[in-house]
Amino acid sequence: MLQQEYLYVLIFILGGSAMVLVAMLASWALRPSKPSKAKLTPYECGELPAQADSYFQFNIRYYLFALLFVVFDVEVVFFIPLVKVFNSIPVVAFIEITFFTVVLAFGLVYAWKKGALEWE
Amino acid sequence: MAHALMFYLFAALAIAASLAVILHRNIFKSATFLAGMLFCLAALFVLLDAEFIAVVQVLIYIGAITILIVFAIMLTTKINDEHKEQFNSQKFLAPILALGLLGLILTIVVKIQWTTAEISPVPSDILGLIGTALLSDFIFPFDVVSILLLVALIGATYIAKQEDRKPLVTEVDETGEHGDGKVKHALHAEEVEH
Repeated sequence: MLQQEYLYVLIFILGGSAMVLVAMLASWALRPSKPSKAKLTPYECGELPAQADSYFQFNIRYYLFALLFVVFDVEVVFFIPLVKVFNSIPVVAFIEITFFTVVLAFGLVYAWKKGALEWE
Repeated sequence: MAHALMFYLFAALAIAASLAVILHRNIFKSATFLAGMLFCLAALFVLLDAEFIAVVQVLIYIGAITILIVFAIMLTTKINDEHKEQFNSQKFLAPILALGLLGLILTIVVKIQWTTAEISPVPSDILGLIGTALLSDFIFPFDVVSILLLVALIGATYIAKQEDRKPLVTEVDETGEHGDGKVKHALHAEEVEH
């Protein structure tokens, strides 16, 4: 049965959640409760925080990097089944993987050439 | 028994997470709930023995799409305001339409005579089957996918570089430091490009 192997995933999820919960509960039970205004300010090394609101507009360049990541993420997903059968049909698989990579590498070169990877 | 229990658990979690996505006032937390909902879907895929789809679900939808959504939220100014109105003028019409659609679907579900097909068990080497299919029958679509991804890549680069060239007018407006001259300049630049 396939799903029994996923019992480990479930155990990991439960274990991970339990660790966080136990740590939070233990510190909640052990710590003294003395709230003050200074404790509510966001932590910034040494100084008072530069701005009160931690939410600000990010540079649009981050989005381009995210898009690049998504494209190559999809590429990897297509490669997983190919790698599985690589030993049985090596020539076709090799040609296909090379073609796929070269086409996407062309896109990466385009982005590079256009200066999309430059960080001013 | 345990199988059915897990199914109902993850189905209920998925529904709860989806409701949280549309009802939560903080759009960033909505995105987080969306990731949780997609994870529940992945679990449902595992329960259906569709292992590869589950992996793709986690890798693409949680690892990439949710990240894109979070980036889009962080790139937008003042979208994370919790005091924003959550409903617009269509809040009365939309539920009626949705209920009508639900009624239609339920009618179909009730009226159709569902028969259980004799399905042979899922082959254990499903990943190998997908790989063989990609390299034989679907070799052309597979190549087209690479072109499609290339188009997406180039398009994204082009749009992002375009954003760089002309400053956003609203942004200049909001800071108020540059005055009207800069706004006019930006508009002018746009006209020249068209």
